[in-house]
Amino acid sequence: MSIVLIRGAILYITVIFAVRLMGKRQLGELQPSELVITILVSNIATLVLEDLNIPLIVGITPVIALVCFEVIMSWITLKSQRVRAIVSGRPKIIITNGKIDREIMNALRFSVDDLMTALRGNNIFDIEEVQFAIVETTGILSVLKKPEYETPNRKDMGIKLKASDPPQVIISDGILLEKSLENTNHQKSWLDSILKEKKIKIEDIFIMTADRNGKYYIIENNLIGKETPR
Amino acid sequence: MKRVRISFCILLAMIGLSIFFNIRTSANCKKLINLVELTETEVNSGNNKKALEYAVEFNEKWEKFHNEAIFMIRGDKLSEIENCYIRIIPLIEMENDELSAELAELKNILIHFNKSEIPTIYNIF
Repeated sequence: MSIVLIRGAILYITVIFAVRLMGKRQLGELQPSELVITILVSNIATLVLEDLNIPLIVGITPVIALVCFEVIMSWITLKSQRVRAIVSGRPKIIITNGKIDREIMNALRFSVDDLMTALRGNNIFDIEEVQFAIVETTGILSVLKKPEYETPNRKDMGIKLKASDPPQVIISDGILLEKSLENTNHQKSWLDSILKEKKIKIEDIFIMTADRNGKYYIIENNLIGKETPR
Repeated sequence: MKRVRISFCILLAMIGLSIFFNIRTSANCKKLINLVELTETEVNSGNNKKALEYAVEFNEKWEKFHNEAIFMIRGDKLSEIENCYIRIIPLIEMENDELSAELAELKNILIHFNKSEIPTIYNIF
């Protein structure tokens, strides 16, 4: 029992390390090769947990090796379009100028129901609204609506707004996040002047956010929910 | 790029370790097979005292090898060899008729074990 527990803990750390090594790409939409790796890693990890006859190193080796292969392969696909096409495939245009390409549909083994489901997933319930649709290598359908069905945006309506980055948390639970402060283009002296003005210390702040324009928001530890705007 | 470098390093380390372990396993197996053959020769020539010395030496070498191999080789493979060799010393001491057969079996298991750890086309597929 204790052996299984220890092996489980070691495997958990290994699989976490493996997923981290694969990077953030893995955590989003899965490419075919990434899907294969995910399935294989989970299966191998289970085998080692179940069968105590298999040495832990023998179980961990393929997990790490598969992830290393995947990282190296993703680097190769980044460098070579040909390899990328072989490993991940190419996106396929399924609707052009509002016309469905049935050959592509057959090649992708995409039924009308599949197409309608994917369109509904894009909030489109009438196929007439579609100008252009493409099946990505991850299997997701990306859709461009006909201009007359597109929602007008601020530019269309001539509304001018100043673009700005969202505010960042610069103090969290009494701890100054220097990296975030740097990202907002402010110095420590700027923060000190605000704190001096408000007569509070960093340790007394639960959350403080700030943006590049100098707008900030403070929630004090003893005043959670009470706004202290500039 | 950092991840690619780490992956390359890990893969190289794994390849290096597996080659090192294969060479070591093969060398140890050859030593053990040699000891079994020597035991067999002494038994056939009726020199059981010498055969017992070789069997004890085999025991010592096996224990040492077992402690390394347990990290890399399936436990049931090692148990198979252990179950076979554990009977050798009592059989020599009792001068049992089954001794030759047991030694032949142990030798065969060791040869098979050695072959199964070397990456050949038959082992891979």
